[in-house]
Amino acid sequence: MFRAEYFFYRSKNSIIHRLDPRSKLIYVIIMFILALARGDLIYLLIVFIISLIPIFLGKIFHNFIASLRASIFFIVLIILINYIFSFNIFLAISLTLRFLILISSFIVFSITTSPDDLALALYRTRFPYDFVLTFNLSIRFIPTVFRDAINIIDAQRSRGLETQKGFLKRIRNYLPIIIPLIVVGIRRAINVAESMEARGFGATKKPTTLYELKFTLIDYFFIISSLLLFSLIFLI
Amino acid sequence: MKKIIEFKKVSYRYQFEEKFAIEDINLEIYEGEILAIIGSNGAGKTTLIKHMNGLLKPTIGDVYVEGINTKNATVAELSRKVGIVFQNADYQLFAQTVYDEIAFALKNFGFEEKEIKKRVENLLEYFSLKHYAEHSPLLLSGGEKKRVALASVLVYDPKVLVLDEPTIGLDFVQKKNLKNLISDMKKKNKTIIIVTHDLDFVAEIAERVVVIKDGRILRIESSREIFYDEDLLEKANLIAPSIVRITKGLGINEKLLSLNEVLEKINLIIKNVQS
Repeated sequence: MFRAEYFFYRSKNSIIHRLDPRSKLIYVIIMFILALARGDLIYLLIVFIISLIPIFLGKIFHNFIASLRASIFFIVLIILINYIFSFNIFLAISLTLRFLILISSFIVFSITTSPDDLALALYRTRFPYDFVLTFNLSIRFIPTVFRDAINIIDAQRSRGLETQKGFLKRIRNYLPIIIPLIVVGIRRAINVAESMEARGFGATKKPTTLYELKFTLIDYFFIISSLLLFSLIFLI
Repeated sequence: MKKIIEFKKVSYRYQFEEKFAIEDINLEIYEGEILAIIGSNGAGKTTLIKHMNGLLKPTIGDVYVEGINTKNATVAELSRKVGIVFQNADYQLFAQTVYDEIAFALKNFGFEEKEIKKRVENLLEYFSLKHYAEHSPLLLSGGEKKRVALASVLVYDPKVLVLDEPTIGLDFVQKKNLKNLISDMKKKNKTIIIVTHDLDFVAEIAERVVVIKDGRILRIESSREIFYDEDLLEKANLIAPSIVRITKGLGINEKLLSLNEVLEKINLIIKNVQS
């Protein structure tokens, strides 16, 4: 049974969860550059192993496995296509490693960063409040939409809808799932908007923020360690 | 009584979850009975009912529906026997008209058009939805949507009807109609399983009650025994139905479960006092 919760932020007590979103963003950018800078197997393998460290520190190994399972189709596709066109298994593996590095570093950001912290970071970097709030809400509602989708699929399967037979049939059968999903989504959006307006949303251009983001020693240590990883490009 | 659903040492754990959502469930459900499953939020009630038509397959143990192991049958096959009406009607309404919505399952199960027409029209009549037949189900009121959702499951005449929180959003009249519907189903020897927080409703109609907490069954007993067991209800974070609290408040030392029973008792006491 698929659980949406594994792909989104969940509050946990870990060093990585406590980091400032900006330091995690810097880490992700560095890892992306590292993954794309060189293509040799040993180098990518080392970068991949390093990318697992924040995953263990952030206690999100289960989430990482869930992400791998969800992307298994792409992983197989990358291996197959590259092997078919190049007959070079090492190239296929190194491209897969690249993909894995992107996943492992990105989930460190996406799963350990609270949407509130992220919104606050954007707000502090002078993004308009309306934009930040819309961004925050859209991230917050993704797990809810996933849960809705699962409930809708269950309800329709209980009325005899086959969702697991044949590709074409599956596409045709999406209609009874998509329509309720859109309707429920729009209704929820209207309810949220009305409830926000009823509580004074838009009354001031500069609303109060309840807490501040602060760089701590751990943030500096994390950023410096991430920057030091750049040396891997030349050392290995 | 004939067994219709059986849970044998069933435990279920969601993927990557450390704890079991339901654990070591042994439950026998019989043909023609009205069974209620009660428990606080997150107790595992919905996980339990999703095993009844194979939406979930046990991690440990087996579930049998009329002797068929749910692991060896598809959801569509099991749904012909066990119809589940989910809590939120919005999760299933999608068709252009109420008529099409009710006919949806019959088309999936391959019924003939003549039979579909007959069954849908009967239910439109039964649920007073005839004048809405050509309306969009999405534009109906909450109570009407619930009726359409219920009709869209009843239409394929399953042997077991599972109702997930059926009274939420229903007014007094609609609740009364639901009670009548359940009585009609009972007369047809259908099995009704109700999952709810509405203990007043359960007290009025359920014959047996399953109390569930943290994924485990605390007790299976007649509703009369369950609702007069204060310790059990407290353990399950539940409050006794109003009728039980009234009976106790009046100092009546009997396990009464309906308004009629209480009134009869009061009349008897008054007569005794007068004589």
